[in-house]
Amino acid sequence: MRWIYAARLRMRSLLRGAQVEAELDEELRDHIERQTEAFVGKGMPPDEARAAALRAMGGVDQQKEACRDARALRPIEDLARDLGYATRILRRSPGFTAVAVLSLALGIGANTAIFSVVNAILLRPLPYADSSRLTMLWTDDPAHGIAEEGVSYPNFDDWRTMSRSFVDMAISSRRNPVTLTGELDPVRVEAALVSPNLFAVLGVAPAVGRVFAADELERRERSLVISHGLWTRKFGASVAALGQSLEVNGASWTIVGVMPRTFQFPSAEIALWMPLTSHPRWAEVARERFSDFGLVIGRLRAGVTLPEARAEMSAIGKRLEAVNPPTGPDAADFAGYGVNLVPLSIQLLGTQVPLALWVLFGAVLFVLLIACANVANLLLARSVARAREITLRTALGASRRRVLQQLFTESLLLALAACPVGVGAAAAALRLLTSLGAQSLPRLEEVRLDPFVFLFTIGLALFATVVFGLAPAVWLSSTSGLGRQSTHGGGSVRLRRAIVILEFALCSILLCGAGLLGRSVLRLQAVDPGFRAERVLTMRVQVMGSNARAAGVFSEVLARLRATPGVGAAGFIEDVLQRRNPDYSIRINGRSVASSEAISGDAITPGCLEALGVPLLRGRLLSERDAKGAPRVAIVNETFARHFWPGEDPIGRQVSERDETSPPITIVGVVSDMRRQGLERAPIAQIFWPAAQRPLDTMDLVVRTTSNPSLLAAAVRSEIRAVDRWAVLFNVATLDDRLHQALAPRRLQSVLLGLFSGIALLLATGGIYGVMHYTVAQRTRDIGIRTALGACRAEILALVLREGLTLAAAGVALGLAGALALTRVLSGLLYGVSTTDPSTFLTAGLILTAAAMLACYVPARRAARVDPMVVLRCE
Amino acid sequence: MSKPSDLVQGTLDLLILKILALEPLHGWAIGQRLKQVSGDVLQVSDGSLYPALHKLEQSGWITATWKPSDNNRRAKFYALTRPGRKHLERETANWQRLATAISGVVMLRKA
Repeated sequence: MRWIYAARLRMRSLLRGAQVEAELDEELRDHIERQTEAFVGKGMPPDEARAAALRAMGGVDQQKEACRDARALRPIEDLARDLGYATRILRRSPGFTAVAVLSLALGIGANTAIFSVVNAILLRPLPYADSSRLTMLWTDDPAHGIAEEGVSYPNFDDWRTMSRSFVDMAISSRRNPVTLTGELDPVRVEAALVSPNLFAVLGVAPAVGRVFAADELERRERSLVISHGLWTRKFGASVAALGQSLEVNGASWTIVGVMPRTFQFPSAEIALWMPLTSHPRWAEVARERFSDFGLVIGRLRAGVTLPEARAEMSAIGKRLEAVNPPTGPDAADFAGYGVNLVPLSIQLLGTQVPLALWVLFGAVLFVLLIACANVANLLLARSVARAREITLRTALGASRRRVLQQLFTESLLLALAACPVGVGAAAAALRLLTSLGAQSLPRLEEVRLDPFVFLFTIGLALFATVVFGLAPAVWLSSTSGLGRQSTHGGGSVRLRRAIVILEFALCSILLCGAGLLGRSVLRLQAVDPGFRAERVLTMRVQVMGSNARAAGVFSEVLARLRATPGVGAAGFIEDVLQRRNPDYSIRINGRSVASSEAISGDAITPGCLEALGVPLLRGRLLSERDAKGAPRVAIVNETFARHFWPGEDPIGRQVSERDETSPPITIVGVVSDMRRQGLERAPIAQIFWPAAQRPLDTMDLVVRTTSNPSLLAAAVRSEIRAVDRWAVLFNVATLDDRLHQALAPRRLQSVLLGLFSGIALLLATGGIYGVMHYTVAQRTRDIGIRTALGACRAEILALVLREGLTLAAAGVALGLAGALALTRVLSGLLYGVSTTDPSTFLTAGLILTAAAMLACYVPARRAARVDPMVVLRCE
Repeated sequence: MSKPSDLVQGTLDLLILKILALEPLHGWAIGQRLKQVSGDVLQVSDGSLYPALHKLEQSGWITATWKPSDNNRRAKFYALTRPGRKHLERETANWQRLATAISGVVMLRKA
């Protein structure tokens, strides 16, 4: 209760100090006047009365001081005074201040930038209500080693009714390419077929309009919800879009709602959400228990843990298998399916992204520590000059606490001055980072400098203040320190050497890490994809109408392209980089094999494998003779041949489609393996059959060009348009770019870590230069005497260099030992390099030693030039 | 802060609180009242009065307002706060216990 009065007063004296002072003045003056009047009343002459009143008071200024003491604001007033003093001190040595503030700003800026990324991607919850309770549910297929296989609709329906662990579950197809027709230029977009409760399960309200009603499936009203992106692109973000119709695949649909910008489920590409029933084969899909419809997301009931839900779902999976045993020829293939639960955050980010981010975060923390070490070094270098002043202050009665407080205030001021500079740098760096890493990191568009990040930055500045300010302040304020340093600063120099060793240790850990990541990228870039990706233009082509019509269009396009100048070879392939999950099942050696992560099949046209430049190992490639109605043939890759017919000649072997009545397919050729899924993935078993015998309406065109492939894009486009004006063209890119895009996240990581190591190296080099420079300055006399006694310049040079290199070597040795222990955390991010790769470690050590040598050479040369006569004369 | 040597530590605070319990007063009047009630036995210098008042105010026992006074001048009037009144009761009780104990001891020696 009384604290309210007290607090109010304190706030008042803090914020309105001038008024409080004026009131104090008035109060005391009033007292003097009243006392004077009282004395006059007793018969004293006015002058005498006033003097007596003042005397009784015992000095007005002393009174005021005592009253100010009563305000209990001393510490704050001291701080204000210290701040003013520190500002003057720092302004007096602008060089030191600039170097210290810039070093700290570098460290603080790098930390702020990386932290804002960590914050946006790892710490901030996903844009769904209570997202920690959201879990993906997959079909687990241990027999084929696939833990995250899509879920069939009947299974989803049963899971949903049987489970007690979930508030609700929703299903969504991954993505269904649809074409927005009804305009001059048809546009291809991705749609998701979803159960109407998807939005409710995720807990996201539409930005405009409504989402699907619970009975949307029964209503069959052809309603759809569109993405914020499509809304902005097509309707200029106008509310008038609601209720408008959109022609999708030739049918008219009504727009009922728009999702917010942040809603990207199941993926960022989705432009519209349609009810499940819009699936062209819905009646079948709704009954196919052993199929892959899409992904299931569930919201865990409050209080149910993930292991509990896992246990329940696996029991449900077993029960369902018992009730609905797989039947038919492929029964064995579907046995042993389970349910796999993956928390949504892990599903979206994977394990590599968080690891990479934490590694980068650790790296920038190292950079900050090195920056702090450098500033501590600078502060210690000033200690001789400061010591005289501090001795004086102590002699005049300043307590050790006050001196410490004063020194810390200076450090704090440096750190706080570095904050705005650092944040400015971070903002610029983030702009660069978001443009560089757009494809490399999920949620990168959410990165921004928010109040939480600023809070972190301030915390960082305080942390830095303690780190770099502690040693110099304690050392300076200690009386023993004062006694020693006045002549040589022995203690200070020892401390500074320790700091340099620490800097080099931290720096070598960073360099090792950056080296390992960099080597991984180089190794990956050197991986042979199995085909020649350079000078290949790719684009995806969709032909409206039937698959048979598409086959005709494709072969006519190829005929025209072959006559086009600049085209070496051209062909179509179902999915050149295997981004989609093709749904095939073939029978090999009498048993059925489903397409999976380990085996895939593609329809191709003649010319495709030639355009890709994949070497033919045996047999032949496809030709125009492998047409519809001709004997069915296929080409397999090495892995396929080795896997199914080990040690045998695959040419002439036969496989067949799933139903046994279909004619056999004869293997006519073997090509070498291609790493189409990305350079990191080992090649899988692949089979290629003629598109003519199994036509598709959407395929990737691959064109090998004789010159720059990008220049040919327009010509290829017009050739296609000449054959079919309505064909939809998308994903136009060179194969090289598409293949290397997958490396972008790694490249970004190693570039960033390399950058941070570079900064660290610069700081550490500056640190050792500073110390050696100072040592030489301190020992000018000693060196001069040595020279006078006959030491030659080379000896002096070697003396200084040896001293500097001893420090660097100690740091490097310490750092490499640390790296040996720490690089282990990188193992998930490396490719083809061991975490203790000796050549990387050696290189890091050599770079650091060379840098130290360079930094020590300047002071060493200065030492060697010391003129003994000048030194002796000075004595 | 200088304390009169003949005042037991804290006694001045108690006296001020007691005086203010009767009516709000400004600094000079409090000084006058102190001299009156103690019959000049307690010598409170003007010098120790204001720091004591400010300290009490900072502690929240008393609160101050500027009001016009007798001679049309603005004066800073001090008054007890509610916590101050409770504090006074506690301190008075303490003082009485202490005084009884001390006088008991002093009598014992005399006897």
